[in-house]
Amino acid sequence: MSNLLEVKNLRLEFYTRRGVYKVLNDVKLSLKRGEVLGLAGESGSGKSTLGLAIIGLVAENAIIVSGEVLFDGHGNLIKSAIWSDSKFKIKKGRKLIKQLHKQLLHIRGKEMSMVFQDPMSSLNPLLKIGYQIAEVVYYHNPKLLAQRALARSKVTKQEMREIIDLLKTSEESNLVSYLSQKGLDGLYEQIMSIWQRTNLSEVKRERMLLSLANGGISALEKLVLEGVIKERKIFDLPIVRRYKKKILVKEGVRKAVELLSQLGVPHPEKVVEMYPHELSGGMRQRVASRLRLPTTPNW
Amino acid sequence: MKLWAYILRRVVILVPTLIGLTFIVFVLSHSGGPNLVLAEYLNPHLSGSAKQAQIKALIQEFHLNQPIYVQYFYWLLQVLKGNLGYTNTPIYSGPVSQAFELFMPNTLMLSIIASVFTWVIGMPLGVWSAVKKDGVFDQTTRIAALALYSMPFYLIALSLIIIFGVYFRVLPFSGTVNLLLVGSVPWYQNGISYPTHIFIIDAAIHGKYMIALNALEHLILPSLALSLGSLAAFIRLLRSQMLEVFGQDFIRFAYSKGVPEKDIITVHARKNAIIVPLTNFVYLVAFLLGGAVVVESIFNIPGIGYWTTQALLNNDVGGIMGSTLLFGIILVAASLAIDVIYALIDPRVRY
Amino acid sequence: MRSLETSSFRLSLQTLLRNKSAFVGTIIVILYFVDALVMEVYPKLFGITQPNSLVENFSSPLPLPPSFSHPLGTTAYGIDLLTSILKAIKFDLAYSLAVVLSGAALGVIIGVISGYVGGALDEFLMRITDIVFSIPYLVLALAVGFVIGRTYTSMVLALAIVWWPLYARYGRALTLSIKTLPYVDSARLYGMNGFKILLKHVIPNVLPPVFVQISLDLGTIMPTFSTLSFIGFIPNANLPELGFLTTLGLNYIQTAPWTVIFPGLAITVFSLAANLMGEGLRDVFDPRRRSE
Repeated sequence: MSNLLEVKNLRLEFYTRRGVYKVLNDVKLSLKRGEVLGLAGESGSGKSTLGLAIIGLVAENAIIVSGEVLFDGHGNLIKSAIWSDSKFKIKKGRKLIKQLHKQLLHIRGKEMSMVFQDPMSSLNPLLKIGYQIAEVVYYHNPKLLAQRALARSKVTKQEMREIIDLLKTSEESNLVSYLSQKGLDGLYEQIMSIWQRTNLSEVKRERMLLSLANGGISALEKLVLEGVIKERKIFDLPIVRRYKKKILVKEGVRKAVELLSQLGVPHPEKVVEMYPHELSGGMRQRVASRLRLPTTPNW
Repeated sequence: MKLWAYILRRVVILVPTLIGLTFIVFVLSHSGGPNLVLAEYLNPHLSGSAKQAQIKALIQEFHLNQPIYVQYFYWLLQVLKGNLGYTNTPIYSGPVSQAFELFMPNTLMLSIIASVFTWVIGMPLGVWSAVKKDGVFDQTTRIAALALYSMPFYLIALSLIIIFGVYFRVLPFSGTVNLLLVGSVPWYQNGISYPTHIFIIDAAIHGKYMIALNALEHLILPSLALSLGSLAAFIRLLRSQMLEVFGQDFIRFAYSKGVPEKDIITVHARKNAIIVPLTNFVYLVAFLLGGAVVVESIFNIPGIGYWTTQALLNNDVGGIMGSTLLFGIILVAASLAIDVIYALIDPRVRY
Repeated sequence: MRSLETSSFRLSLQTLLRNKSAFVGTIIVILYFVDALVMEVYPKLFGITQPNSLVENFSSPLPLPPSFSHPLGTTAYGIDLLTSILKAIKFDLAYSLAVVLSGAALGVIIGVISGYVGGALDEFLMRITDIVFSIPYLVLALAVGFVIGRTYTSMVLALAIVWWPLYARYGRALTLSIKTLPYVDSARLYGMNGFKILLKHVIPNVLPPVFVQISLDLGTIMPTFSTLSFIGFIPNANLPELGFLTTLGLNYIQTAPWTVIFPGLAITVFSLAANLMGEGLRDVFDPRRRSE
């Protein structure tokens, strides 16, 4: 099996008023899929810097002198960030960082993400938690959100009762085929997330499942959602985009509730409406780590 | 705590400020003796025996024979009843409340236009010069802002006059409207237009669009002078706040989540950075509403600031106390507005 | 590449010098002070015989444009602008300095005490600060002028009164942030008494930022001061002062704009320089910027 991540001869230096700090000197490492690597070292040895360099979040005054970061068929992530000049100019440093941002946009949050040391500061204090989780899904997988919302609007109470029966009696794969038959694929994860909350009584769960079938959405919403699924460019125009973001984020918050309940966070519906400072430290850390990979379907 | 309770609490705290403010000014302006209260409440149009009679009545009512804090108390009583006294200045003589009514509209127009301009221009400039830090745009903006910030307000106003009024002869710079145009119009008398006292609106109401346009032209330079002065501070503040926010962890975290740069700027960074500049902005609006003295004097706009200066320079106690009260109320309202805005934007402020 | 070993003082100096605009600003500020000093001690150096009043020349009472004999032109009453500005700088600088230093001294003392002692005293002092802070300087200046007469002294007094709340708040905020630092607590733990803590820990950390603020404020006060005099605070003034000089040119604004521009420019240049200098100093003292 080939390496998922490979770092070759990475050299990184910091330019400060006091001189040049050579932080990463010829770092080599490799990771296969499914492996876990733990890095231990003194404080100041460059552990965080290495991690940040891999995901491309280097500081302005950092220079990547040489090296490669190969990730999962994406090639060398930092190819364009290698300094060619001999002189250090902070303007160039900033430009390179912006380039990195653009390049790595689709990888970050989707295939590669980072959990920061301090959970208090990694969340934006002015935005609701639900939004900050929903954000990730919105930017990486808006189709999923649109599918979910549409499926919910299409399903009828009768179909829902049939689904509940299926859940109680037969296996998952039957449910999957039932849903795809009816064109309700987006409903799958919503159903499973409710069904798997075994701390609730079965009656309660049934009621929650039934409430999913609450049906109608406005014609405008439907139009936008379908457009998102078909990836029509028109929905990227300034004003339309705002509305699209609004409804998709709303859906994203629902998904955030599911994600949090999977973590065992109590009262996820309430947590999602709260702000970071209202959570305890442990909760915050759980939320921050949950932001790891909310877009992969297999967690 | 609910929002209205919070507001009530803030109001209660702010009342002493208002009282303190007016008290200090009262003491200072009445330190010359009880004659000044007389000057304040004496109707300047009376004379002879009527005047004597009123003097007697006033002494009675205001307890002018008693120490200053007693006098203040009775003055406060009168104010709460709505009697603000008389003002006696070269441009206007009569009840203070009338003075408010006559001068406020002009100041209001100027304030609104200048504030809107400052916000609309200042926001993007501040945000983008932070985003494109040290780029050409940033450097130019910073230099311009620094230069404007260092100029005294009157210099900004005078320079504008020189450039646009004298050199290029494009815009008028005195008064609120060209007097030749309004000479024969029935809704204009003695420098005041009716019914709203705002030339533009009144002219539009009466269908005289040429006059309205002319009045608008007269407003451009003063508003520009006002907003240029405030823009500088606003942009610098916004820029520095944006830069500070950029250095914070949650921005890095947002990047690592894969949020595109544009959204990081507009959603994450801007929201956090705007708090302090917004505060500043509200104070600015309060200051403008109180009458930007310098600009009104230079451009000959009969507004609150102009009247205040005249009152102060002429030792017109009624005017002094009246305008202090007005300014105090505006400031208190502004502080309240800031507190409320803060509570609304920043969820960490508990109410 | 430079070595990593540099002393902290050399580093600060390097920072200041490398910042070109701060450097220029400092030079200009120094030049203004030099001019003020010369005017006070030895005005003949610049060929000026009457440093404390404006010299009129009624033989040519109308303003003349800049020329060889009058490098900046003349203003009303034939007053030469260059010499007047040179004279005026001394006064404006002196008054501005007086305002800022007294306001800062009073404000910092009140602020530090308020922040350090805390409790009811803190509340009380802050209430007073807020009240004074909300008085518009114009009103206060005129009220003070009313009481003690309208002179430059009363202007300085009034402005100082309006200015100290700023320093009180600033000093208090700084004190609070230092008070809660762990090392202050640990100092208390091994028995250091309150006053000593104040002296050894709080003051050294409060002074540098205050100093920076003073430099910045010099740049703000001078325009404000001249604005007060521009409005006509002092009846029948004849002192060389930049705001007053500007008023002399008001009648001639259409025909002789230089009469209005040059005095104002003298202020603007100083304010700009002081701001640049202050920002440069801020970069030196603010440890957060050290990493650049």
